[in-house]
Amino acid sequence: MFDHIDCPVTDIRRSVAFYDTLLAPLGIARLITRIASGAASVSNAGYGRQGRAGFWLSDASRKGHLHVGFSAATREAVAAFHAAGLAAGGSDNGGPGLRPYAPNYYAAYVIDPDGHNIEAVCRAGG
Amino acid sequence: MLDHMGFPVVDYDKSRAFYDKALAPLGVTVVMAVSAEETGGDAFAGYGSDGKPDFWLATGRPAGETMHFHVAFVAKDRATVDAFYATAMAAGGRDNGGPGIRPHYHPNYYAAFVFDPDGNNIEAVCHKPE
Repeated sequence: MFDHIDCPVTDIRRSVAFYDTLLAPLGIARLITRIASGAASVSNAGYGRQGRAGFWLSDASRKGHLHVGFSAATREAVAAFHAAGLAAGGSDNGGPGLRPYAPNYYAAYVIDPDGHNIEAVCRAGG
Repeated sequence: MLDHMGFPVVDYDKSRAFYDKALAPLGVTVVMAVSAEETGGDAFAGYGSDGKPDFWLATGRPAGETMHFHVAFVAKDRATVDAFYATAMAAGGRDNGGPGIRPHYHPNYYAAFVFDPDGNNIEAVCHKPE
């Protein structure tokens, strides 16, 4: 059901040290690490198995807000998710379309009532 | 990799209305809901597909306060849950419930819980009988 989640942390280096240790017994390793050098940049770390990062930590600008990406079977489902989210009082955070994260990464984003960034993504080709 | 996750929200009814509608096109609906009367505390709604609740909303987040989330990872067996907990404790993690069966979830729900450095509640769970 989940494609990936991104959790806000206050100190990325401290959290990376903790999660590296914590997740190792589960066979989950840190696959991607970006530590920002400038104050405006984002630091993040992606954990996963078999080359696919599904659990992210980030020291992001949207402090205190989660990001959750749900899997969608089709691009039509992504568009329906976005329309339904807006109709339900969510605010637009990016309409349905291809994103440069991966080939065929077709996603849409809605901000939920608490400010969390909720995504639907279809990775199947359109 | 992820078993389930959840977080408390400020306005439960508003968030329920939002997620009920937004997740329906993905085939994700409320598959388990527990009222405040039933728990004696917070109310919960678990969204999922195929009958398993994976994404949880709960009451109990005061407006303006820091949110603490909950994430649970899949462990392939009970020994892995034990190792997860022991490793976390050795690394200076804070205990939030040692390895063991949580029969109120289901008879084979074997889990352990630790707090991360920000106070988030991180779990490893094995659902298989042994």
